[in-house]
Amino acid sequence: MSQEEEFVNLIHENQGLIYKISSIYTQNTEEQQDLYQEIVYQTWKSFDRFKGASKTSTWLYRIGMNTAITHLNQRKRKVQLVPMEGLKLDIQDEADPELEERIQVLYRHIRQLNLLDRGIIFLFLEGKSQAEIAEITGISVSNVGTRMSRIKEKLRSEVKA
Amino acid sequence: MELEDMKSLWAEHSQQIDKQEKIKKELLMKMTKKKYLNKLGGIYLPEILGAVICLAYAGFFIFQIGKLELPWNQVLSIFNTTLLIVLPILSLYSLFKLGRIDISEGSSAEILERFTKNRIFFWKVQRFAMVISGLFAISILPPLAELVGKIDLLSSRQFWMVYVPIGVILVYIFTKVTMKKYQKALSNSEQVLKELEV
Repeated sequence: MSQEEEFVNLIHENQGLIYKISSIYTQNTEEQQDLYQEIVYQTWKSFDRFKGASKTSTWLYRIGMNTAITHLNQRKRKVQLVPMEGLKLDIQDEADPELEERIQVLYRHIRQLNLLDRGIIFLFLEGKSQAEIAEITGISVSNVGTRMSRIKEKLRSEVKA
Repeated sequence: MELEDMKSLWAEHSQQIDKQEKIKKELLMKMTKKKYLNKLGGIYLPEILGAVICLAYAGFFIFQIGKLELPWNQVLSIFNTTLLIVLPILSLYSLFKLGRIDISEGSSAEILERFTKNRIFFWKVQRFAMVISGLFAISILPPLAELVGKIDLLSSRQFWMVYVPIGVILVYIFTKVTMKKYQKALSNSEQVLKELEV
């Protein structure tokens, strides 16, 4: 299998993950799609240097989160969406509207957090252990625990407010 | 909403996403290649163009310095030429430094720290360039006046009574407004670094 095919398969299998990362770090659909494309592009750029030292998913989480952190902080950042026919990134509204609303509330709360905490809560929601979160984010396991408690408190007070 | 409730809601959300139609494989590569071309033109081109214009002016001045007879105008044109060379190089350097971070190497915390530090450097360069540009805007007039119209602007009352005060006021207002913006950006970046330490 060529490198290009391997890359396309990897992205194809992990589109949901990229969709979710790009959603927690952006405020609207256009920005979200722009970040989605940027993560795919950055993954391609780094693909030949991925030597399998870490799990593919760990590597992809890291690329996605690092791209979000840098891309969204660029000076004079403007959306540079590649307009392409057939490029569908939106979730269709077939789901239960109540569920949809709860998900939107969840996203809203996550987006209130700072960049690193957003990544930590995202990885927690993805079912990652504290050790895995520490590996991806680069902070110590105890710091992950401390931050998780703070995030919990913050989210609780936001819900009450 | 408790974290465990959030987790089960997220699991439902993930299932919902997995059921969605995926982007076709052939489109993924096409999109990536287009993104690459877009980035080349979008980010660095305006900065590079600006630098080329500055360097072209610097080249023009280097060839014109010999034609200047008034010693003060020679000094000013050397000062202006140096600025036209140094400022765009410094600005481009700080911009490339920002873009050069390899996001595949390092954890999110490291990337955030490195990127924020580079961004602080970038804002400081911009702030410095802004102040110097004000000086440039005023000091370029006397040598230009001599080159274009053989006028000794430095000996003219009009220059000191009209051009300089107007220039200083405009530069002051402009600097004040932009400094506020840069200061805000710097404070935001420093706040990100503080949050990392906590």
